[in-house]
Amino acid sequence: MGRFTLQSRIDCGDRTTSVALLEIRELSIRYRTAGAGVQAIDGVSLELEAGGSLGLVGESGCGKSTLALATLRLLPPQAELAGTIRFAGQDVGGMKERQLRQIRWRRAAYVPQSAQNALVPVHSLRAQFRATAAAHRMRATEADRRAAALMRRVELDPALLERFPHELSGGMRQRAIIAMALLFEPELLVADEPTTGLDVIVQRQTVNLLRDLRAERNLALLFISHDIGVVAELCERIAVLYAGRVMETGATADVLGSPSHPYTIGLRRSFPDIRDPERPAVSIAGHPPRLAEALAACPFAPRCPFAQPVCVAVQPPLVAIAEGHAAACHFAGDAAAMRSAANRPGLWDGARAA
Amino acid sequence: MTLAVEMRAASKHFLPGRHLFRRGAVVRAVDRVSFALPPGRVLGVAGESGSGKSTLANLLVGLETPSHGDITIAGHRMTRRPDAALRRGVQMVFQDPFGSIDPRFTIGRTVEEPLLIHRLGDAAERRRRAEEALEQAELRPAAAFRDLYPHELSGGQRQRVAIARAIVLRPKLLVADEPVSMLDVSVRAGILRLLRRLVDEGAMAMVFITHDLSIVGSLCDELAVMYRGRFVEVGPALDVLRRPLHPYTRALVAAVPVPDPAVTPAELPAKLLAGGAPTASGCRFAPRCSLAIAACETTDPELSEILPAHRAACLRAGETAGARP
Ligand SMILES: Nc1ncnc2c1ncn2[C@@H]1O[C@H](COP(=O)(O)OP(=O)(O)O)[C@@H](O)[C@H]1O
Ligand code: SF4
Ligand SMILES: [Mg+2]
Repeated sequence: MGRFTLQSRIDCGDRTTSVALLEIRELSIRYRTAGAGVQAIDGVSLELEAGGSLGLVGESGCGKSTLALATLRLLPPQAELAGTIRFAGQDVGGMKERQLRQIRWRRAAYVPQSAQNALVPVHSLRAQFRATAAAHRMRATEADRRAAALMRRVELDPALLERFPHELSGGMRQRAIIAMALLFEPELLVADEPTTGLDVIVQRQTVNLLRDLRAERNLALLFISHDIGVVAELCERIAVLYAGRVMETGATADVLGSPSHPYTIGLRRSFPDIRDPERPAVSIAGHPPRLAEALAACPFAPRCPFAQPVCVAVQPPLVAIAEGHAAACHFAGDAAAMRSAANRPGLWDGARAA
Repeated sequence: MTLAVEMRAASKHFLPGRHLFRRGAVVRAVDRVSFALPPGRVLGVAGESGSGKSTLANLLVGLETPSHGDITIAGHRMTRRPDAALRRGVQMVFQDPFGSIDPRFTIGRTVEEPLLIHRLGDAAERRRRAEEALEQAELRPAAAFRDLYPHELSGGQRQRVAIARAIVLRPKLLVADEPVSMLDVSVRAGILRLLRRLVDEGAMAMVFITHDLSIVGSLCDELAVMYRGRFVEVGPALDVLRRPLHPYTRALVAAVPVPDPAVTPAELPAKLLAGGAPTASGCRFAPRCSLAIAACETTDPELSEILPAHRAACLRAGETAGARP
């Protein structure tokens, strides 16, 4: 071990044949706070082609929601942003509110984290469909017509449109939100942890629904989840975030099949597999940092069982390790050796209890 | 050896009106549930939300009294007003490590709290026991954690504080209600390993409630699957996971996502998703069951032993026992 390159970041998922629907270049996002501030995203480049699917995974606090909000310029005012985000070739950062309205919800819809609480409790579902429609100048009659069709599509009885959110189960509310997000037949759906907290059968139903909707509408999906099992089922590509940076990205089959960054290897091993119920999962000691400033080192080094002195001295760039597969680790070239060492008992226990 | 806990045909019925959506009929939140656990054993209880898991937990800790049947903790029968010793004998760890700890108290004070409530020991003794419990929960060195406040800890560390607080009274039974479901997957295994070690070392039994079957195998000795208040399958945990006998258990196992993109996700039968209310005399799962036959509408199956030590409450379990899940 000891090999590292200083090659600049590469663009994964670059398909020369198609123009990316969503293109994020060198994005950095900082939250101003009463204290030192938080560097939530640090130099992230990603893209998503029309009809494609990208899963963002990582522990809580790694910047997944911040990245999702940024794509539709929904960040709170204390967020400072550098870098570019393009939707269908247009610079989202430079848009006027009026232009933004043409895209948000119409072409790119967003299902927020804990969406089940995002519904207004005192309005019926119909009223909420109509309010969304009216905000984008769609007539109530048209909204009603589409609402009924969409409810049926998400396997909900249109009669439920007269009901209030609390009268529905968690899974039904989630499907109603998805129906509402599809009101304008968007090209992109950004969904932040839409299945977290649902029972497994309801979760399975929601995942299968999203998969079918994608296929039938050529809907691109930016899907955020800490559950790599769900991401494996829904997304063709995956990006692993840690401390606001991309640690590894590539086709889902490659990233989960041959994880090449220690963080991905740890996450993969921490996920229990029901096909092998006896095998204990690993636990990665420690927790993600909350950085006030971008780090000139590997952010995972304090928790990494493979860390060497170079890791705290030099920031590992995201470099290609195979066609369309990249990892930001000085030792990504030795990934096979790290993967086989990953099962050693106690390897991930580290010094601190988490 | 005295059993740590025994439930004998315990039921909890709620009168109509208490549950908003089920006005009219009595809700059998827990319906004739029986099990026994010696010290050192872990029973997993799995099921969807609303299946009665939390009511079962409340019965065990004495927050609810059974409508029928009885519960004994270390040989002592739970009564309407359990005495202090009996209450000390059962402790609970809750799902939400953020909501279950008072943010105004230091970690040391939080863990000492149960000793204060039960007026055990003097200040020095309480401090010693709290530090011991923190060490047992792997918050080491305890002195470094004692003076911190909850907001200074990660979710996993807070859940360890909640565990330390639960074991400081040296209970006979620990009831853990979804203790890792709100934590990052990356730290769950450590918490599960800790719970298992505490059970093994502490002569304590544990009832571990979860909706996630994928974490049961490495932790639990026995597994009970609950549906509408009833245990519909009970057996050695690995047997139940590898060879589920009840169609509901099979659906739960099939629905779990597998972190392998090469695996095609299971399709669930439409009947399972559509649901519906069961008939009064039939099997409660029949409206969602693809295997249901006419007899299922009229007979409510009891748990019966289909494979060694492995019981299921399904009229067709014997027939399907040979088939792969
Ligand atoms: N409005 C905000 N103000 C200050 N810090 C924030 C704000 N929102 C998020 N953060 C911080 O930014 C980092 C990334 O958070 P987030 O994007 O929510 O991550 P994730 O979705 O992966 O859990 C965390 O350290 C979080 O505490
Ligand atoms: S600490 Fe070093 S070995 Fe570990 S992930 Fe970072 S660069 Fe790779
Ligand atoms: Mg988030």
